[in-house]
Amino acid sequence: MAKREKGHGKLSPRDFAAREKRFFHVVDDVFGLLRTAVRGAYVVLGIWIIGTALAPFAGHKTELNSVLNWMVQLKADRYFFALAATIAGGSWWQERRKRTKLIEEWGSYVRTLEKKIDPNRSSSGLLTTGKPRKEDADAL
Amino acid sequence: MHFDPKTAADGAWVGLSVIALVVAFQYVFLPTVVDCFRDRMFELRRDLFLLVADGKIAPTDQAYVSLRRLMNGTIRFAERITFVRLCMAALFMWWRFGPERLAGMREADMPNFESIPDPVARTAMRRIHDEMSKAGPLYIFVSSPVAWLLTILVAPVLILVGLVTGTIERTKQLIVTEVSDRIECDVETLMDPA
Repeated sequence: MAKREKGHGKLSPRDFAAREKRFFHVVDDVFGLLRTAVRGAYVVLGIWIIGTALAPFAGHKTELNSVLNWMVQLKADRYFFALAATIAGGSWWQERRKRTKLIEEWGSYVRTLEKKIDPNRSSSGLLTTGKPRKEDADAL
Repeated sequence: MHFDPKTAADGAWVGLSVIALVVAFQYVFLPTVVDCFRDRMFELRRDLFLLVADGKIAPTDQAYVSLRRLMNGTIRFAERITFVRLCMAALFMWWRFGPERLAGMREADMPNFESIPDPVARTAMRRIHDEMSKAGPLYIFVSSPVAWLLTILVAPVLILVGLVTGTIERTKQLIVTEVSDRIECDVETLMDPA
């Protein structure tokens, strides 16, 4: 087990703070990797469930066809569900596009106005589209 | 052993649904929650800027610069402010450097409002900071399924204990303050590359 560092020891406060920061960034990076791994694991779980469900029918073309028939036998409620999901998804996609465009236009306008009052105004560091830079973004 | 094609079809649908759920959560739900949080932060940053525009505070005032920097960092790293990451960072920092250093880091990072000469501006900045401190924990909770699960398990006990002992408001305040302090601490560290 690593030795716990409660005091400054021989390090200057500045060096100690730098060490703390380095340690924090390591924890942060490890978490980023874990997060990506967990999400990947969920997709693998989904594929595994599908595989397990269909595995007994491997090599039995007729039976596999009947499974696929069952899968595509959409009933009325499923049609409504699919329609609602398509409308919601399409609207969401459209809203995102408009939002990005609006952020680009208004962001530039606000930046110009604010700079007139405070020429040294600090920025959030986001891209003009309102998205984070690649190096700031989280796991996939 | 007989395998029913209908059951297999349902199984395949379950698998597809799991994948669809993960994709929807990652690419639809999370970006929307993050954007809502960023919008709120931009709103508060505008409120803060209006104090400068109205001449109530100088843009070079240390408290203003510090709070704006904190807001910028929160906006910038919004995606990386998550419940599990927050817990993990706090736990590991505590384990490696001890609770005293954790508290020390927190105090060093806080904007100091006492130095603001105008009492109106001071009150306004405290309000903005308070609003920020409420938005952070709410965002952490909404964006994390782990936090939902934990709330389902822990909230009934906390509410019950709070009702019995009459400390429900204090407990709520303690959780909000603790989480928002941790967010500020982590954002400060993320802004300062090692």
